[in-house]
Amino acid sequence: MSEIEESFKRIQTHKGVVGVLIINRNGSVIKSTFDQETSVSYSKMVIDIFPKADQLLKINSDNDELSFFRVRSKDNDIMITPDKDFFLLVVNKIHKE
Amino acid sequence: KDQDDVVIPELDDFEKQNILDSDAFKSFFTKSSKVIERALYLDDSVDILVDYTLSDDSKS
Repeated sequence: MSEIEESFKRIQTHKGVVGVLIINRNGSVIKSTFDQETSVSYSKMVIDIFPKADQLLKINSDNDELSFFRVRSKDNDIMITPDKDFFLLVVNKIHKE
Repeated sequence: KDQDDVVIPELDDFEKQNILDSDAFKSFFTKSSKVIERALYLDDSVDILVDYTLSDDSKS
């Protein structure tokens, strides 16, 4: 198994992780543990929300670039790491001790 | 613009595999997976949203 496959599996099997999605800048799904419909729903939201989150940071710092963002509720948590060409998104269920 | 109007281009398996094998992808994934893994492991020890006032009340 490649190093990429290993990290992907490790994230996917981490306690609480519901699913993992990798998309490109257009939102096209490259790799996903979700079904096609769910993947595309997440994908559309990510490419919609990303430019806004990026702008939010730029208010205070023109040349800054968004490197990680996260939205959390009582029970759910979504982490997204964007870069020039791709997005990695991980959906979590918060586990209570 | 409405979300439903957005069309997400679908890639076939060959295109996906080409991307997964590319150096740009490998370098992206190596970096970003580390960030995510770090966040996941930190979450296991600390929950920044724990409401301590609530648990104090329930104990008393």
